[in-house]
Amino acid sequence: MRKKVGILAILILVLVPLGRWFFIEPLNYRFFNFIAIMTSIGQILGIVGLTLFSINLILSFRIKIVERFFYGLNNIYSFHHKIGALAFVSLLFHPLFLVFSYLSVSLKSAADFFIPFNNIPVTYGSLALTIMTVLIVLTFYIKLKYHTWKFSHKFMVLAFIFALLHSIYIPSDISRDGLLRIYLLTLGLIGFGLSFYQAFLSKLFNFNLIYNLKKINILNQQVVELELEPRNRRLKFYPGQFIFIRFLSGSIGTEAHPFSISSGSPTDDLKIVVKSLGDFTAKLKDLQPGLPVSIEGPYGKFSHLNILNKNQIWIAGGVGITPFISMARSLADNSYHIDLYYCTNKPEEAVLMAELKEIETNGKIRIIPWHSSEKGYLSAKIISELSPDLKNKDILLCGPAPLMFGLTEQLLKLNIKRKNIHFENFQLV
Amino acid sequence: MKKLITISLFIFWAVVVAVLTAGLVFYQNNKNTNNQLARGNFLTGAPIGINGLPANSSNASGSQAALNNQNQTSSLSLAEIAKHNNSNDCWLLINNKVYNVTSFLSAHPGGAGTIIPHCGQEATQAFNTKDIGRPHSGSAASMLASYYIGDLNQQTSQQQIRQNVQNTNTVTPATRGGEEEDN
Repeated sequence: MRKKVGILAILILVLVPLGRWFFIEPLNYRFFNFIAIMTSIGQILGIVGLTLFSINLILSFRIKIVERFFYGLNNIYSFHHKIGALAFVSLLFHPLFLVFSYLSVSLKSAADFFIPFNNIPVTYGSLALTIMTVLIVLTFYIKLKYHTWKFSHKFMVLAFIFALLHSIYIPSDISRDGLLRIYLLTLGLIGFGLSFYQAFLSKLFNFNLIYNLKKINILNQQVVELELEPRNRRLKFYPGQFIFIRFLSGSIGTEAHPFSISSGSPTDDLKIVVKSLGDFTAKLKDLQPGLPVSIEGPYGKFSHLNILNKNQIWIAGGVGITPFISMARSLADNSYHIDLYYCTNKPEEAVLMAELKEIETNGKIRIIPWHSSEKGYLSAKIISELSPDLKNKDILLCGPAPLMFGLTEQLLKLNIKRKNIHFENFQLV
Repeated sequence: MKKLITISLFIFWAVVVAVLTAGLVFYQNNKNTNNQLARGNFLTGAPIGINGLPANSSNASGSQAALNNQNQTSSLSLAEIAKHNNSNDCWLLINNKVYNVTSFLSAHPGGAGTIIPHCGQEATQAFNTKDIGRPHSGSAASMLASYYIGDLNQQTSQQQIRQNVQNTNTVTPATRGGEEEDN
């Protein structure tokens, strides 16, 4: 339900300028023949594209209020991804529809339209589209290292500046109509301000809590657990949430990276479990204790506490165990009945199993280790056999995307309702 | 989403490349024919710009007709211009010159809607500022010349006006490349 509030807000933000556009001029001026219709569609796409672009910049700013509307930061990022794609496609087709009016004059004038530097406002638009195209290709087609990609993506702000200049200087409904101009400029400047701050300035100011790196526990060859102790105030969170951590000095770089918390709540020392997947995570185990760390968050809605039904199935794939460890460590009363499936390829990959086993002896939770090298992949059928009465349980999934989506599909086939399946998508982008 | 973006990028570049290629080919052809036309005019010594009409909207039969109908004169008065005030018949008065831009409306890059409110009226200010304080480009001004039908209050034969209106209704300002050549 909350998620729908976010979608509704986006829809309204897009429909307002469109509504205004429809009333600036009589519609028979806009749609009186084929060329005029094409031009009008081009203009609509321009307005929609610019509005979506502004909204997307606002969504890129990590802000708690917006998170509430979308029920979790992960949802925001998945929206950001989709809205970005839609904005890009709208803006790509924007000039294609406008070229009809030039084609009706002559092929040469249509060709001139696509040649940069003929006309300054048009050139702003071309520059914006060119930068966007490069960055979108980097996002969708080329797998860059996370922090290289993240750095490249900051230049979307530059593309947006050109898009905004284009919309201000091109003779159009935006330049003629004060209301439309004020609306789009306000939204644009908010988006620009927030994203510029997020991309370039947020490192300079620190409004976040500061922790010190206390200890690094090497759990196996690939997985480490970092223990962090608060300098003064400690973070309030509920189990299952994640944080952005940023090392304030040292050789590891100062970009913020998202990690799930593995310690129970409430707690003084924060723990996170990290599997070395990329450059950043590989470097973590070489860090020296004492490093200052900025903690931003907490974010996310993935928690057993957010689900009314206390009969739950937890399914973890690999390092996806992290939020469940936090939840298991936080189970205070005995009202929960939980089956935790812990899927790894081999037994030695199941980190923190000893601790989970200890929690199991308290009787709050049943641990079902599942090693695919021995028994094959876990399936919904196996789950329904091992955990009877599946239909009356809520299922929480966290792990690699193929595991989560594969199991979700199988569960839906077993007539489990979609609203009873909850998952935490690790891949933020 | 990835599929949508792939398809869109493909269409975008296909159209851009097609238009640029076609534009280049057309421009080359156009340049040749215009050069020939210019040479032809020079050789035959045909009158250029008779009755104040620019060469590209005037033709021999038009000026001949004007000579034949000199008695039935009519004036391009403000009242006459005001009759042509809609999207099917749109005249503009710009710098005391009358233009029939009916066939250009849908081709206007800023949209027909920006011109239509000025149909049948004095539009010098609007043309010079685009209603937003910025002038049109030089090529826009040369395109406008293709739609010229006469001066304000000019005494012209009705036949001539009709002919000019007809010419401007069918004009495609494709001669734009040619005009740049002439300069």
